[in-house]
Amino acid sequence: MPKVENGAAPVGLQFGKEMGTLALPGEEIGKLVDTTPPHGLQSPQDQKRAVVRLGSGVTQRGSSLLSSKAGKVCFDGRRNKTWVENNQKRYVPALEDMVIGVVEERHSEDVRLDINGTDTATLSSLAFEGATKKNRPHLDIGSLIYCRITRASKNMEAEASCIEPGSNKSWVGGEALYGELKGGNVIQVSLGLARSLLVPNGPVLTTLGAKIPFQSAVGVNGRVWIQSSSTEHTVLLSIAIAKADTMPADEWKAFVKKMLEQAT
Amino acid sequence: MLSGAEKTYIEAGAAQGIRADGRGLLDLRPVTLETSLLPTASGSARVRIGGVTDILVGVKAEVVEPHVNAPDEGLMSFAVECSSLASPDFVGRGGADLNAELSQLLTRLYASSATRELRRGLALIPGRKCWVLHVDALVLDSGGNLYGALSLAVRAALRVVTLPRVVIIPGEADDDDEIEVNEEVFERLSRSEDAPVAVTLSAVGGRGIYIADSTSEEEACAKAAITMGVNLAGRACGAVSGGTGGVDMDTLKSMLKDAVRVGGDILKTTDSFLQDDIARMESGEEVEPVGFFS
Amino acid sequence: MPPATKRSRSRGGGAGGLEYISLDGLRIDGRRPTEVRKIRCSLGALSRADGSAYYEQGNTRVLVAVYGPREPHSRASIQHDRAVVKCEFSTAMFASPVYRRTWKGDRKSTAAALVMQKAFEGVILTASYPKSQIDIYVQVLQNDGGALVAAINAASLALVNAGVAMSDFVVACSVGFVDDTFVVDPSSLESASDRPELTLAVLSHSAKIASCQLDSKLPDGESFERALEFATSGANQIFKVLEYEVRKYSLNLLDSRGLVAL
Repeated sequence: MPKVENGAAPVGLQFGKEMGTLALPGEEIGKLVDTTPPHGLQSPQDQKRAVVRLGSGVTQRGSSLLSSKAGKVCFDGRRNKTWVENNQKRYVPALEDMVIGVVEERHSEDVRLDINGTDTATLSSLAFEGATKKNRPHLDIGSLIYCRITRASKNMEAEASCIEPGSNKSWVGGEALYGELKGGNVIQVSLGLARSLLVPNGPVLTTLGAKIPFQSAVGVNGRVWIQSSSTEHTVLLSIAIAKADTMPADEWKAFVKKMLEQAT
Repeated sequence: MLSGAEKTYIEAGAAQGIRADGRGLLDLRPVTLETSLLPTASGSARVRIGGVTDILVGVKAEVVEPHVNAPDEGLMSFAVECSSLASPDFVGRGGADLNAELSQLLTRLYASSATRELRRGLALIPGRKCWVLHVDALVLDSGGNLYGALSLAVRAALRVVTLPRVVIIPGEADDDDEIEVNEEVFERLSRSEDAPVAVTLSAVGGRGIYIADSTSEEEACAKAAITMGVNLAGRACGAVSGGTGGVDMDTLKSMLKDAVRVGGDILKTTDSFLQDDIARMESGEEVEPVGFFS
Repeated sequence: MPPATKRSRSRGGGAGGLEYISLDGLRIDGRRPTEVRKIRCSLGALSRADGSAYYEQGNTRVLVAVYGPREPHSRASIQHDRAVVKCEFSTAMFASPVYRRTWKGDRKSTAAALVMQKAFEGVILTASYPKSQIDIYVQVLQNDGGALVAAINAASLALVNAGVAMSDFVVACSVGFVDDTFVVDPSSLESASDRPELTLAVLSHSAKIASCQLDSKLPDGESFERALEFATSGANQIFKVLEYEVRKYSLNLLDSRGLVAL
């Protein structure tokens, strides 16, 4: 049996490859199996559990599950979901993703954001907490916006919003989670690094934050915004985070140690 | 698309003497230089700057008639092509304008009196026969400082170009001399060390602030830029200005001085590297192409 | 001036005098008829492209860039239910001993681009990226035979590097015919214009054919099937190399961010 993570073993899915191993496009990673018991009756709960969720990098051919990318085969037992984790530069929007967009076009009711993806995303100027027709943010071309993907479909342009459900912090005053990111610097990193930077108390941001106080926002679309009290510090932080994309762990730690020593 | 934050960041940084990648205003990115990687060319070189700008140059030689205006000089023809690899903008004929502009720059760089001896070294029979060097440059990746990278790659290729030895057989009458090309013995180009490099300084941010070897993001923020050809003797060969609007006279003078200095540094460092390459060539040592694997 | 290097001379002779297969059964470069030339490749060679790969097979060297999936360049080419795949095949000015300027618009290049477009259209999961465009740009740096083969293999690697979803991994190989023998992966010396040459692109896992081009007629008595067998065996050899490279590359990626676990 392959190693499982996050709880239960796969239901309705038999892994052909060891999980965590690498698969190439076209390689069979598993088979869908019929979980209907011999007596033919299945409770609604069992039927629900038997649903196999296919994430990014997995495609189905008959009852075979094939990898469509080159990457690591992953499985989440809580959601009975399998996917192939790879790294790439282009972002594909998914619902609820937190991204950093750059305003490309302005229209009367909304703006178009470049989200480093296949297509752009629309952000309504009213999709801000407390915004009304008379009181809404003015978004210039080139502005950086931290927002949430509220509609992601391969057939339509994605939609984003700066409204945080459950929060009533107005867009005015800059206390809200989402909204325009002013000042600071933004860098482009690989999607893989962005994902790992979002892990709470992750090593990269904690190591850097221990010596230099800074604010940051990480978009799963590979954009990282950094702001500190001095331009020099912002430069160092930007370089350090960008280097985490290419340097092996040990080398990075040493590099950052030297850099921080010289800075402070 | 450059965000407002990035623009401000680049300009604010420059005003404080720092750049986004930690360099000083006139510091250069690491350069990878490789020669003799195209076996079918008389000389070739590849230059990569900062891992984002990548140029490949091949030189082919042919015997032709010299120009009527310069009978005792050989010829050099330059053709630059921006590969679609570098950007979808260059697909089909999309890169035609930029190709022409870059080819023009190289032509002007090698047309001044500073390279006259180099051109004379290509003459065979004055007024009748000379070498023409067809210099073909291919831009594979474009991350800023195209002029600099191009000129450096061309210079490196010329430094390692070898041409077959030519013997002049005197004819009966004065203009009956013939040439015989000896395909067994090759010689390097005389005065190839005269080949210039182009240095571009871009005005970014406030008054009097300019940077060398700019990235494409920095180029997008630049208000003006000057490109200057510099040779070993510290002479300027063919200055090309890319819009100096907004640059005052004092700043311009200081830019020209710094361009010569930066150019001198580039020539010194790359030459010592090239000497190694040339020495290896002459000793007949096999050079394993490093190229795309480093 | 100190004398410089001596150029090595290529073997002389045309169709008449040259012996392609020695008495030992070895080809001019020492290979056996079923042997593919040495392959070296690397992923991610270019900084701007979404995916890229450098590929060498013997002395043939190509660079391929993938841009996309991205917004289509022209409204006319938008397909509402799938991605449009566009290819460009360009040969550098210094790619072959015959001196000439760059070619990308000539018949051969356009034909090669079309072959690639059709082959990859069939394997890229275009329905996953409606209304978008995927560009595959080929730059041949040096051509010693098999440039299309190298381009197809490099494109597969570049697409993997770009994370474009595919139903399989395409691998190509060519077969020539010299001295009454089928030879796998003919070099330029072994592929003269009047010789038959088969270029095959296969889907590595399902063993289906993505593309098959035959230039010139096979001599009577030689079966197409036999040529296909040779090409397939060559493709399998190549696939092993490419598979190894992709795994190595993916492992390196995972490794370099060891401190930030995926």
